[in-house]
Amino acid sequence: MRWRNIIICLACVVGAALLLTAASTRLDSISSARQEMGLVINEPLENAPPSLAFATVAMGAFRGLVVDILWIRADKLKEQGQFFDAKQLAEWITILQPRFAGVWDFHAWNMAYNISVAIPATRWQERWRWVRNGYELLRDKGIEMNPHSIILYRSLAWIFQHKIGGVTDDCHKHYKRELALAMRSLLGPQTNEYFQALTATGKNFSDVAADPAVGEFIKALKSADEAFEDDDEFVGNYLSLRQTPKKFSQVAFDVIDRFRGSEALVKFDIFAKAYRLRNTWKLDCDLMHRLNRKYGPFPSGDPNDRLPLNWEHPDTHAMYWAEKGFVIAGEKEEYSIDEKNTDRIIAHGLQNLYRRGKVIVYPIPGELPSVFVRPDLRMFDVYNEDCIKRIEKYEAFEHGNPKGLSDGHRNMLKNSVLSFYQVGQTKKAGEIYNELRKRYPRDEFKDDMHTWARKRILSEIKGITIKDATELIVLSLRDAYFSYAVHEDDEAFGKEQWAKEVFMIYQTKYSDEEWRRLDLPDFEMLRFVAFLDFLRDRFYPEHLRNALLARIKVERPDLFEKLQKQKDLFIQKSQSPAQTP
Amino acid sequence: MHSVWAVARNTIAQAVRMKVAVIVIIMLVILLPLMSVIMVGDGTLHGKLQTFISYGLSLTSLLLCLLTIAVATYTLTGDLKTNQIHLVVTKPIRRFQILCGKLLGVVILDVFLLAAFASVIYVLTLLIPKLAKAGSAELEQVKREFFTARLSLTAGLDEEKINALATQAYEKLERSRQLPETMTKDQILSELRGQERLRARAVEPGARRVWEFENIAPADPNESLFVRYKYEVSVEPPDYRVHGSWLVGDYRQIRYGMGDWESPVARIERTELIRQFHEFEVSAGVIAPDGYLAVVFFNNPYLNQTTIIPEEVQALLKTGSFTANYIRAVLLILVRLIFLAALGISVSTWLSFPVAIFICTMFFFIGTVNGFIVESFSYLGQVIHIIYSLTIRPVLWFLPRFDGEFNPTQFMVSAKLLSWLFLVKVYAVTVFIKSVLLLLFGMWIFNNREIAKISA
Repeated sequence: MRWRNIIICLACVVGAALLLTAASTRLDSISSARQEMGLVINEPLENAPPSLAFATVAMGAFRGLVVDILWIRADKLKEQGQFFDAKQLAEWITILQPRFAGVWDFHAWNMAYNISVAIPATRWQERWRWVRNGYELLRDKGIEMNPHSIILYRSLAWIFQHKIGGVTDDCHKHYKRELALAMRSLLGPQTNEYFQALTATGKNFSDVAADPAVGEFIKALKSADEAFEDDDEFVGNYLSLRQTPKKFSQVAFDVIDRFRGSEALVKFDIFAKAYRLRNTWKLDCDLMHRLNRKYGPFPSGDPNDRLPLNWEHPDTHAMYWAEKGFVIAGEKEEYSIDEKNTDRIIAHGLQNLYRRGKVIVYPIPGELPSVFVRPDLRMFDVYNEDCIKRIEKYEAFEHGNPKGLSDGHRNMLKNSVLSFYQVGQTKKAGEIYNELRKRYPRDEFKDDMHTWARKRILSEIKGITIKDATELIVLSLRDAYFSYAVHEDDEAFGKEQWAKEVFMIYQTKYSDEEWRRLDLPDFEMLRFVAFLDFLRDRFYPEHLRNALLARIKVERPDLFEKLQKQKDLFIQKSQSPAQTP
Repeated sequence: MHSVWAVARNTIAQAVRMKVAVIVIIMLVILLPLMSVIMVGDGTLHGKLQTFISYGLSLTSLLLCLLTIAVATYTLTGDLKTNQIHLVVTKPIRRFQILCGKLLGVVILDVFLLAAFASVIYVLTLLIPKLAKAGSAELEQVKREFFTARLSLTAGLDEEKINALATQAYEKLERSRQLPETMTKDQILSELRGQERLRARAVEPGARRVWEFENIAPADPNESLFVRYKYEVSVEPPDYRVHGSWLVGDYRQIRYGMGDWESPVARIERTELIRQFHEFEVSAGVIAPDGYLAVVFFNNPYLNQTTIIPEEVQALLKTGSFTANYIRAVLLILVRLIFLAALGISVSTWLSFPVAIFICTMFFFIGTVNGFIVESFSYLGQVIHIIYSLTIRPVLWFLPRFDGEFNPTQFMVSAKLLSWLFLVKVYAVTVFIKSVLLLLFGMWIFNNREIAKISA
């Protein structure tokens, strides 16, 4: 090669190196300018697992093509009704587009809503698995990848509130039961002290193992069963041991027995549950406690003395995720449509907790427990407070006309007066009625509470037939029997009194002295009919119905005797010929 | 024949020495067992099996197709480029025999590799339930819904009757002078036929529809029969659900009020979402002794307020074994390989290696979306549709089809029977017609081509 060519080549190489060096010095400012101008769709994944980082970078320009192919396959399989690959495809698509929140949202919704209902309702376990797949995708991965995307928090909250907490799915009771049972094993007595203990406990295994007493317990358990040797699996195995001891050796359970009641076991137990809540359910105990302080019921009347929320209820979880979304992803100075939707989750959550916040999981030997939801009247004050704040917020923030909200609030107060009256809490009913009169001064509230309540009953029974009136009373009595069966005696008494009041009002209004044409049957007879109806109603498990019978026989022999007499009278009347006037 | 076999042996030896073959073999050896472990599907045993077999067969098919294209195009073009062909053509062997030998060599290699990896997939599929430690209920479910081959029975519409009704309606419109002036007779008839088809498929509230099948012989009356369907509606219900009342069995017993029933009739009541596929299971004992089966859908007017159109109603009946079905699926993959081998050898007679491999790869990818392309043309406007029918459509027919009903994985995933008859038809068209035509074309070119290039 000639010298001239060599020199030219060298000069080109040096020139290229200089230009490359100069260009690389500009890279940082270009990248930050792109960030500022919002031109970066996919930000570099920090702290992401190597496989994920590799997947998003290695494919380069082909990533979009691969994503399209995966979407087409997912859609095609969905058209064909094949869902075996849906979860896997959702995972791959979300791996390739981790920063696109809409992808996580879509796949979670697809699994929890579309795929779950494609499975027959008789296979509730499979349905529940798909609902879980949906919310776990958002909770465990979507939100982790996109912590500042409020739509993901909102979608997660929606699955809890609507899919699990709602009634549109045929298997909703199964979902409620499974959630309640899972939470029950972790939340213990659900007292304020317990939640405080959960927040105070250490976050890592090494923190709690450093305590000498707890360390001794851990050591004893490790030497009892080899399953406890691995520190990473220790907590999970411990919780399994407490729930299903038969999975482990007897020696391991003997260790638990040995430490039962000791401070070490109590401490470790709380740590284990907090650990599971934090790492598996992704529930921050501090936020849970704060939520309890903010939205917990205060039946004593003092807002500073609140009880914890019912964490067995799906709406509480919905409120948690909505609140977390606001804390992390909400814009303080803006109020976007996504934030409004998330805000509504909390409002509806409180409403649902008031209207059906009591979750009764009734155990049945040899079968799955039955689940019933009932109103939780303790939540009234919180719900009421929230409604008022919302009306004020709407007025102040958007200068809107809150008439719709006010009308809803007024109706809520009216219904609440009756609800409390119905269960015998007349003092509380009176307080609400006074608030109603003060906030909405109208002619319809000029009477005292009792008169107003009687007028409401009259307006309900006005124009109804004797058959409907009988049904109304019998239904109320049946509800009372159910409350009695699940040991809610105060409510049972209140409902019985309510039924009696309706009976008296109807009889006073419509009873015909001469011909007794529109007279209702005797109240005792109605009570007996309601009791028979309840015993025959297959909606309630047989175990529950038998338990009621046994309870009445033992605890209320007078009632049992009355029912027995009514039974004889019933049989006698049905066997005797009809009497002509 | 001896010459052909000698060329085939050489081709196999040449292919095995190619790096691409080694890479494909290594990839499959590593990926297939790995997939059996990492593929979880939807978390159930059934889903895991479906995912594994779907991806396993697809991956094997894809890699072997690419290998076949590479080997088929290289084997001849490589010989031509390196002048090794001269060592062959000077022997007492005809040119068409060279091509036949090349094709035979590639096909034997394909058969061997396909058999090997299909066996690996088969063994892993059988091992997965054992390794997954599934419960008895899950094992029973996969035995019924995966490790089986179900014949799909469908009852189409009576097209003659529909045509007759459409013609009647047309004549009626004609007599009353209500024919639209802007439409041709064919267009009007086409629309009337569409309306009659919809009328025949739709079930109004209070009405019922019957699908009847005859000459059905279940392998075992204790087995299950599945009915698969999807609902369309005229007006969407607010909760997107409808209530379906189904009867499956010898409907003649009900229709004609026969005294003692010889076979049971299953009654199924379900409330389900629209526009999603659903399946329910009944005992195969509902099939009448003479092989008659009816599936009846009743639109209960007390529970539904909309007209329901049950679509794609199929009765799925076990008639074969998983193993036999799997073998047929593998043979279906072999069809693709034979076609691509013939194509590769044919184009390499007159094109260079890069161009030949490009053309073959393009054909392969067209084959994977051919069904979609054909379907999309049906949405064209009338004029374009005519042009398409005369030009592109015949070309598309000639191209391979690897998707839709020609994709073997859909049979394995939904345990649908891949019949011998279908397989024979596919072989007849793809191998004995299309592949042979391609090969003949290649032979003609190779025969007339000047192999030795004279350079000054």
